[in-house]
Amino acid sequence: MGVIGTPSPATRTSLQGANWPGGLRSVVPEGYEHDPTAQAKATLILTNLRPEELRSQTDKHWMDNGIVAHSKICTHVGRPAAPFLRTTHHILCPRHRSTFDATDGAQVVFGPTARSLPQLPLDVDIEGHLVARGDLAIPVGAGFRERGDTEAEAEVRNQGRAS
Amino acid sequence: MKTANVPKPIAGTSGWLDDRLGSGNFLKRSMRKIFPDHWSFLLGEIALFSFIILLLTGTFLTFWFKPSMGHVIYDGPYEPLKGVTMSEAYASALHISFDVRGGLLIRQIHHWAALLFIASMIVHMLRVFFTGTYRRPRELNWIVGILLMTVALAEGVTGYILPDDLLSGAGLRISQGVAISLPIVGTYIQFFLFGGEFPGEDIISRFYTLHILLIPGILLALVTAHMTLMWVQKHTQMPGKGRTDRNSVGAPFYPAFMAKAGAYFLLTFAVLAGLGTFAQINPIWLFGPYNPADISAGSQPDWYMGILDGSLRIMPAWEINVLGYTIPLSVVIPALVPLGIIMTGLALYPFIERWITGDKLEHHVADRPRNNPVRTSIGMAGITFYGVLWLMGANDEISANFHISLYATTWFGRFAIFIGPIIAYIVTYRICLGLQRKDAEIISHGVESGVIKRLPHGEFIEVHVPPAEDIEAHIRGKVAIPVLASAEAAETDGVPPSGLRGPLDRLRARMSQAYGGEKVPLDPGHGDGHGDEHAAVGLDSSDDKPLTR
Repeated sequence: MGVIGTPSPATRTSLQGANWPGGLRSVVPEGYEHDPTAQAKATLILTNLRPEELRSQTDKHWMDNGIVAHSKICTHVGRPAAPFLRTTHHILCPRHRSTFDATDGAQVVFGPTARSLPQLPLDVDIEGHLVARGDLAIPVGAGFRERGDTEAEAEVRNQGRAS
Repeated sequence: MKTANVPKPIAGTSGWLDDRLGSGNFLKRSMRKIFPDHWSFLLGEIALFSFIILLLTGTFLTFWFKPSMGHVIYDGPYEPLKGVTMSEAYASALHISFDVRGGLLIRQIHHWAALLFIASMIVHMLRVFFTGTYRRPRELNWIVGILLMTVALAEGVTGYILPDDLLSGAGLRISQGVAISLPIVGTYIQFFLFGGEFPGEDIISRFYTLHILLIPGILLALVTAHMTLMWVQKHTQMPGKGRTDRNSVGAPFYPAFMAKAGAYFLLTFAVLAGLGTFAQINPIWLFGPYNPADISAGSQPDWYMGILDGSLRIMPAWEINVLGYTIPLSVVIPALVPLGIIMTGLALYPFIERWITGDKLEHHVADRPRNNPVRTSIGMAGITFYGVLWLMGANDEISANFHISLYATTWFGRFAIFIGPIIAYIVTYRICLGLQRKDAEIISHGVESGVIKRLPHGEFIEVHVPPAEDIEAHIRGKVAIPVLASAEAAETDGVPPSGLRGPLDRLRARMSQAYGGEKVPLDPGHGDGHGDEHAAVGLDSSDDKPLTR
């Protein structure tokens, strides 16, 4: 499968000393801190919630103890979606008000966008770093003609893998 | 034009020039060109003067601005950004703001002038619309004006992007998101414009060329066309004493109008310089360099882009897949439809109006907005449509400052965008008719004199006197809006004439009836203030009370 959306290699970020339960962090893949073109598509948000708070749309194979990674690039017109409402666990795009539910696969709960923020398969390596197990399965950011219904295709692939 | 009464000093100089430039007696005639007087005729000049100031301040800024996206590490006098990696464009914008003498002032004047440029164009356009001075022979100049406005928006957007701070980058990202969403051409446009993926390394230098060369060139050409057409076609004037479609009453270019316009330029410049000095605008050093991963809350575009942001915000989610192709309607519709309706509607309005009224005559006397209630109401509905979207572009600020739920403001916008214009239309229509009735009352009853008179049977009344001559002439300048001959014929004998057979013709006739005609006729006789008799006011509604009791 071709790489859409994120550059390889895997996302690595150190969580040592981080104290952010119930919060949200914005991370950039290691080595791409000064590459705007990579940042424009590979920026992620990590949310750290209690595992029991997460609901069905979140792929629980892809998280680590409640830490989930989603693309930060809003699926409306590609602005980074950042402010996090701690009480409702909603991620808000501050420009056009698309609102995503961090507990439920970053599904859209309000606003002009139609698609949820794609979730990145997350894992922990042997040293305790969060790493990505693979690329985002679907394109990030604004919709465009050629993207097609990649959500449905990803779903089919997922089912194939599960069975 | 008569040239006999040109004063000697002008006649001498302009004659000398005319002889050598082979321009006939152009200067000699033009120096005495008549400019009718009304405050609203000066709105377009604000736009012209802002444009001149934009060219001058913009040239100053180009001396130091570096349109490059190459990375540099900041090492200037602004401490908080020391050591931060940023683009050369942003670094040079900081350099202009902090190191170049007068740089920040000029940058701020440039930004304020850009805001004023577009604002004054729009207000000028509204003046022309509401007074109906886009009618024959000025339809082409109207379209040139609409083009000017569109191109000015593009000029504003490209300029907004250049400093490459976080806020302008945010605007760039939205432009890219909208561009890539367009059906069929979206991805091609994005790759062509950005030379690859977003943001790439070309966009600032490309926008720079557009912003300082191509678009100002087009603007200059259009401004020239606009002014030339205006000069050739003469000016419109408000209705008044001795003013007709065949004359032009006002002050001559030299010396009266020249002095006035000169002072007015200085005034405009003073206001912009004052704003640039005292009102901070776009403090890019506070925003930091652009980084596609970062965002700040409360980010707003410049005011003229608020309408696009608002429509993007209130659009419900809607994205469809057709034959494996995605159409992001929740971006395409708000990005194209509202501005499309407004701009296309404006451009076509003179022709639609003419089609409906069948009015083929030349018009040089402006309409008072109340005297064409349908046009005025459509205009107000348009303003409301624009205004709701514009307001929704700031719904986060509204929500934060007035403690209203953000989603409530969005839902309000979703309904207000449809209901608001309808309410505005009805209210404006009633107000126009009310003002027309007031005019009719002044004509037939005169104005209150302040003199109280006691009648033989003990009643007190206020004596009305005829209105001043110029006021009466101003009111009587009203001309009934033409109605299609076929529509009138249909009304009188009930047999549809030949031009009224198809459904489109019938619709046209019905619109013509609603649009045209005389809604509140004026008393044809001389308004002599009938004193203590209460003459009929000539109104069609029955609930009008006698006006002097």
